[in-house]
Amino acid sequence: MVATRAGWAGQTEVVEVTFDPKVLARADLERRALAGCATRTFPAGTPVRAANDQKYYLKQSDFRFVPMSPTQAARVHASVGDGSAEGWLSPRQLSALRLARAAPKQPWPDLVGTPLAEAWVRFRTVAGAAAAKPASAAR
Amino acid sequence: MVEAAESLFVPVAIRNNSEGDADARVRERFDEPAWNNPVVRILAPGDERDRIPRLHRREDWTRAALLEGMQAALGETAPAWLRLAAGEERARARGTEIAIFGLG
Repeated sequence: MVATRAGWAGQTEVVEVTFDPKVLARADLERRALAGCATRTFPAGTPVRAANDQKYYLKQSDFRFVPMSPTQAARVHASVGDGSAEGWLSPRQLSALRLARAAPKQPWPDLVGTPLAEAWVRFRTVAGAAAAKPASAAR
Repeated sequence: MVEAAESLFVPVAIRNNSEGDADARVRERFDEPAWNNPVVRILAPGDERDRIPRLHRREDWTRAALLEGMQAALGETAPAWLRLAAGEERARARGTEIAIFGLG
């Protein structure tokens, strides 16, 4: 699974799964999904209207401040409730998470859905400003 | 990818067009021709043997190939975040598909 996106196909709530067919065949993916929480499949090309609350659980957590790739975001979103989400992050991402948690009053941007390179620029802009504040305040 | 290169390996850039200097000596020691196209080699510490086949073809000059190479070089010790990144880039490079599932 490369990425997921919540949405609507007509009146039905759906999840759109981007996957690598060389790793997991469509038939296997569909079989697994239908054995889990999926109730039906839709044909490829079905118009999907994106939901407003993408990665809802991720967005309710401090992980929303951490720059992540789409695959990481999907894994973290799926595991944020069971305490294993940090296992998908690199050391630099874990440092970013710790920094955001240590300074909750900083205006950390919600980076869910932001491309990775742009997300790091936005995160570092706030982190840099936060680091500069004590020095300027001391003058 | 940058974090993987910087934190899991010791990245070294060797110029391929110098003569008589340290870069040239390294190039000659590893039998790399001068003025060649870019080459990436991932070597084991200690015996300096190649951990993966030399990356030198046009199709190797991609994020997917380099991430896969780093993952392969580390084998079972590759961290989850590197495996995810390599899998994501590999999938995007060779083409993904979309499946749509109803939830209600």
